[in-house]
Amino acid sequence: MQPRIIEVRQNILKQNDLLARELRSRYVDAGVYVVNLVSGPGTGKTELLEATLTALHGSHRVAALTGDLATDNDARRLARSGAPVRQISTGTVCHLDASMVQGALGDWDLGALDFLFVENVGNLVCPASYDLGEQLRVVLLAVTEGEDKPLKYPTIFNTADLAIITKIDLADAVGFDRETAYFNIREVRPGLPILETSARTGQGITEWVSYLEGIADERRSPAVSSPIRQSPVHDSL
Amino acid sequence: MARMLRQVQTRAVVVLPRSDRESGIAVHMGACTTERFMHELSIAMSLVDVASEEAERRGVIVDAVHIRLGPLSGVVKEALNFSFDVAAAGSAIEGARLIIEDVPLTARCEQCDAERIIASPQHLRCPVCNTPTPEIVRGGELELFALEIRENAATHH
Repeated sequence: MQPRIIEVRQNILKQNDLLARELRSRYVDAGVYVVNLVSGPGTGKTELLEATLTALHGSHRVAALTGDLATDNDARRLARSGAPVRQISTGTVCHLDASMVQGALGDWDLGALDFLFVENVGNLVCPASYDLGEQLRVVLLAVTEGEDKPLKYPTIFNTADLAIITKIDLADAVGFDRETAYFNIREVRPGLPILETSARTGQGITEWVSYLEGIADERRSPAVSSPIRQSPVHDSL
Repeated sequence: MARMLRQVQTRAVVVLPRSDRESGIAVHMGACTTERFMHELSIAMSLVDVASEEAERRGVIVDAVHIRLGPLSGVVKEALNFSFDVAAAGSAIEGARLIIEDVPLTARCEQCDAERIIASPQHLRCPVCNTPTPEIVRGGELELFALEIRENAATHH
């Protein structure tokens, strides 16, 4: 028997990507704007998200999903904002994927929401590859993490639509080099918009909320996602 | 498609249920899991699923799995090679070789009006005119490109 080659041309993560596309359509139909927050562990995603939910909760209908390997600590913290929150416990899995998000959404009426935030597992490696169907992917970087993080993890920065530098109130204390950080972020993702926040002092929160409100109004339509999250190979699905 | 719980003898392997699947594998190297390895193992398992499904659908035996991998796929070649045999053990494609074709990172330079090969994802700039190049044309691939197969004797007509 002769060996032969048969072309397959399928995305290895096609299962996730097909589901992510379905979710994306569902979000658009429901009119909910979905944000995926990614960062390393300890960057301040939960703190920032709590401040965000608190700021938006009065004027908008918001909800959140939060992913961790274990504990529901983050869900409890986020629930203090008054918004509906659900915890996704991944067990051993280092990222959220579309099926986990779909499962967690369950019986929520997405049409009754303006914003849905998904706080990913704290990890700069794994979440990069998994589309959750979001409209906006935000990568967070704390001033305490060092300016060269983007160079060490170019993929996840490259998939982002916005970067937020967190814990900005500590910038002086740690000798944060803003110029180098901005330069490095834009070396791996040219043109990426960057905001700065301190969830602790409230600095930058108003600007972040305004950014969200503006972009949600503008983009409640079929997704314009980053080039990597819609890579050319997808037409082989 | 149901997957069997499986043990692999070559490393200390703890088989744990995945949150939303029937079975999974977590590998402990000494006392700790390495983040990098877990990511590629996860990807390798997806690859094995896609390749096995294709093999079973066509009724063929797979000798080699050809994939195309770009630098912005988020997957490290060496770690994927390492994970593949572990992931394939007990599957329909057990024993198949993994052959990886690197896809060069290619971006479009607006200034030059041309596609350029970019040496590193750390510096998305045109190698000719140094203008930042956000528009990626190729390099995010994580694709099962082809299967090298033999007909399964039982199904060969």
